[in-house]
Amino acid sequence: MGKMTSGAYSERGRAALRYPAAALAFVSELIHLWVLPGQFVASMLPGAFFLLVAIGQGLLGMSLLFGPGRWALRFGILLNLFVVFVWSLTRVVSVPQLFAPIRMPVGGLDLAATAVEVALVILLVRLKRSLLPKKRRHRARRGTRTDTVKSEV
Amino acid sequence: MNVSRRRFLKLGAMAGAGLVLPLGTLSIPLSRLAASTSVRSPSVEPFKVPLPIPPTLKPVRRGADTDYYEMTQRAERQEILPGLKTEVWGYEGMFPGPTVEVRSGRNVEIRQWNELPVPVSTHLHGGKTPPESDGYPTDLILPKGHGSGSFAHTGHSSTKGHPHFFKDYRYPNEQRAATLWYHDHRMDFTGPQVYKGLAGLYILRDEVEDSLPLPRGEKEVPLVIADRTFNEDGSFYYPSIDPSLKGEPGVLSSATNGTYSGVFGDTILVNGAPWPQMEVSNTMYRFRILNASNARAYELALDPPPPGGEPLVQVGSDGGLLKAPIPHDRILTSPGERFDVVVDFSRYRVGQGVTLRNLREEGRTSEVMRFVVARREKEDSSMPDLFVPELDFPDPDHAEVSQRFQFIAGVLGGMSTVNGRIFDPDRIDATPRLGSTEIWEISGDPAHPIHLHLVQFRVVSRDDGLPGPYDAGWKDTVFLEGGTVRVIARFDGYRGKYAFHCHNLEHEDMMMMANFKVI
Repeated sequence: MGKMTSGAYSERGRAALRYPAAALAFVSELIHLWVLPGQFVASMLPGAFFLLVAIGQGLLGMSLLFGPGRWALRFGILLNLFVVFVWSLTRVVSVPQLFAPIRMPVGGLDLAATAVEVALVILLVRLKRSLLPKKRRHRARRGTRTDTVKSEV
Repeated sequence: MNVSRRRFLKLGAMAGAGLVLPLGTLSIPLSRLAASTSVRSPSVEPFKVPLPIPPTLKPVRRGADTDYYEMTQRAERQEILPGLKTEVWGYEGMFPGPTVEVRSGRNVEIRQWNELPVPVSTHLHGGKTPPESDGYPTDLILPKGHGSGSFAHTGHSSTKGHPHFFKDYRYPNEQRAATLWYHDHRMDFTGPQVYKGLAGLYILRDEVEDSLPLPRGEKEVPLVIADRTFNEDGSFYYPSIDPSLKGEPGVLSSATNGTYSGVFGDTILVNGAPWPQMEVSNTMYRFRILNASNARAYELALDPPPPGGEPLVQVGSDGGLLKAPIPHDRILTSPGERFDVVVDFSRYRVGQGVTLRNLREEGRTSEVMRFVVARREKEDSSMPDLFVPELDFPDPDHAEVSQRFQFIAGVLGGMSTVNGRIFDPDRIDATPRLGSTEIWEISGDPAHPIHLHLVQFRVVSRDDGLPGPYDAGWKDTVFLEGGTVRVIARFDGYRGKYAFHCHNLEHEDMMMMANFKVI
């Protein structure tokens, strides 16, 4: 579980990614916490989902502030991709018995949260790439990851 | 293990932001849900309050072929629990509303005024009614001050209502004598608005019934059974997400768990009185029983049963008199159903108390009301062997179409569905031809009282076997406790769009409703 020790990016450069990413994670957490009480009293499954997302974003945000390991970045990317996927799914299909009355409408708050999560994914990917040594990063960019990279994972 | 100061700070901050803050926020809805399950009504001693009888509404004028009535839906404070005042939303400000007594074949026009702060729609349950007077869920009478405004409803941008705050409902009453009832039917909010009191009886009479020697007058008694929970101050407790009933619809998710979901009260009311008592003579009485509860089914029985058994003799169902009387030891009635029952108190000794019980429950809600045989009296009624020669049921062999509908309740606050789909006022789910006969096969999870607007039907079978003991006669509501029930209906009367739905009112509000359009 590596910490941000690569010298490929300057510490300052990484900080320029980490702190905005942490802020975005906290914004996403707060949005989910804001809607949590209303959702939970009406329908427990979406409420539980918002709770788990808020917990995940809170942990991610703090981790980003203190210098995240690669596991934290992977977790953050997967979490936010999943949240964006669920948001998109619930705007396209309906599972009324479990989740919601119909295809959920696109609202200002959830749209904002999704934008935050997409931006967060972008920052997290860049942060993760910043942890790779320069040579590997170059290969990875060309899509020719080596076994060495895999073994690191 | 060595924990650096930085690591300690990190762990603490992560715990704070990632666990304490979210779980602290979670405590807000959890405490609300927990509170909703701990509300208990003030204690009431059963069988102390006399059974009230709802007054009969007088017409404001009578025309050649039409009687004209007016009703105002308004809030009033009413003493339901002894010593406490409850704000009811009632027709004429009372719960239950006044009884409308009309003659078969004579037109009735009722002007409904809305003085409540919310939209309303009045449905005549069991009535063969033109679509514009059926009380469709989105055919709203808006409250004063809302002009031609609109109200948000689940899944739909808005629902427009009448720009004025009254509506004239026209009921041709071209159907046989029966115990009908009227109640609110506002989309998404029927449960709370009926709970607050918007329900009353509509009794249709005809010559056939008049000619029978069944008990009448003071011995023909309506029993509107409903369960409610009260706050300490006597106000109704209903677990709405938005108690103002102006915003988000639905009930707290704590009310949507379990096989028998919905809102269940802890106090049983009959005609708006808690566990009332009625003095009777040692003669026959006819009880028009309406289960006006939101979600509770009752298995009614007399305790003690009379010597010789068969305490409850059913003479009528939702759609009027049966062909012949059917004796029962008990009667299972689900929300919306009516049972017309004769009890012969001559089989009890004078002075004896007889409790009407609900055998499906224990504790407070296992009792409904008590009769006390208080005096002797000459019997002036009798029980005919036959009420009508035939009930003119449609022949299953003549059914043009068979359709299947599956009713599945949502869980943990999820929506309820018909054939996997939630209610959409703009979607037509069946198109019977005017005058045609159709067989509908209805299945689902427990427990759903299925109600069809416009038509009366006959139960053909349950689980491919015979109909159940409480399925006799014409019905407009059938109780489905799992399994499959097949009903046959003739879609005559009017062309237009009508609803069919689960009459568990919380299921209905959670979208367990669909449309048929008679074409």
